[in-house]
Amino acid sequence: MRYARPLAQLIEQLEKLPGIGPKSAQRLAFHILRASQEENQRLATAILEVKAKTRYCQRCFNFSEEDLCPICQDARRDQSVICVVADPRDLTAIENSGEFRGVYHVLQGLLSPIEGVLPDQLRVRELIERVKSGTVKEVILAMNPTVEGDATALFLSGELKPLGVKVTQLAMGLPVGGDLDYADQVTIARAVAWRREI
Amino acid sequence: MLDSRTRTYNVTAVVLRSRPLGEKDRVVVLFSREAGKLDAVAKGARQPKSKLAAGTQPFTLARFALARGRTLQVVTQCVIEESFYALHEDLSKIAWGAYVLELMDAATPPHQHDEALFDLLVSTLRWMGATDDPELVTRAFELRLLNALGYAPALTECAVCGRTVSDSLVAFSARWGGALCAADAAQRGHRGKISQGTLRTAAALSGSKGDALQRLRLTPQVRTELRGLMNDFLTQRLEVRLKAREFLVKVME
Repeated sequence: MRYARPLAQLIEQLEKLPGIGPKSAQRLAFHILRASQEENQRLATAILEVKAKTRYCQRCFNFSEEDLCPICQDARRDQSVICVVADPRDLTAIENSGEFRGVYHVLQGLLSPIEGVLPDQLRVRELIERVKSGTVKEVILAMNPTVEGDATALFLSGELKPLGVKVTQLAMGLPVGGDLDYADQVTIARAVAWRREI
Repeated sequence: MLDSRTRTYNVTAVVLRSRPLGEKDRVVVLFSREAGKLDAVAKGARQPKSKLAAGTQPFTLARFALARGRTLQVVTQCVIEESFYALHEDLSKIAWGAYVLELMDAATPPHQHDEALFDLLVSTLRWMGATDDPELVTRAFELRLLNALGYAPALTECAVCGRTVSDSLVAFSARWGGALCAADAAQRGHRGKISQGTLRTAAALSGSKGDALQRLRLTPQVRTELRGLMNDFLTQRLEVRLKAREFLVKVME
């Protein structure tokens, strides 16, 4: 059966969202139809504002509402340690750990010889400029342990080390709650190589 | 060959490429010893604790258990045999290795069983891990791949008349399939010439005894000529543009 035009239109738009199939789109559309006008207004405003009011932080290229993101503005954070991540979701993951008190740099992607992603498509030049400005003591490379992540980390260390800055990489090893028996050989090999005294 | 009726089967394969699918999955292109090139879905392979995460990285040689799906195969288990970790620790090896994988993917049709090609790929990755000249290893791979596919360039005799070419400078035409003798080159208005040394090096690299070449050193001239020659020849024969080549040109040179 056909739905009324406004409802069909809403279903059609919701279906375009990632992970939303026709059935889920119907369910969401009916939920919105039943919800109060105020609640729907808030949803609609949020959708419109996210595009209009979000921009990149001019220093670290994380998403931000102002020219500088809250982390770059925070005077208590150590501006001499930069943690380089591929995208804002990785930044959030590290931030949620509560372990890191420095600042970030979001590359907005990873180098990929296989997919043809080159350094000039990422925020590499901006990172080098930040390091050249002189206040940076350490750069922590926090890339995924994949071919693309390794390629990016090797490329960046080659560019940054000549500038006289300390370049480090996140440790790799066994996941918390994991099972040694089921860990793959590469992870175990890295865990053994980077073991530490307790 | 594999029995096409069984629902699950095991293959030994190298991961040629790996791309994200949806939220948690990966699609991998495998080149297997038993069934040639095939696509498979590794469900959940992007989750940190997935048992498939490490085995579905490009370069990895592993034993895969596959189940026949309706469109794609599904990876159900994998055990890594060789991760070629040495390739991950050197940017130029990642870049040349990625080129080898991309060329292998572009040059081979799916589902064509070819054990010799599989062995060529594995021995190339092993050699690449141990070498300090990944470009040389790549050139040998290209020539042997062309040999195996039946596109081998003529290197010691004229591609048109078959006479041995022994001049110190030889015309080489990708269009005509290799080296040309002076008479045939003149007749076809072909001008570009390369050194006899480059042709001899290419002939040595295309031979099957890889181990004898471990100590081969390329002069800058031979390296440059060989690069141009293979570039022209592959573009002409396989009609592909490789992304990894662009990366090599822009990042490594």
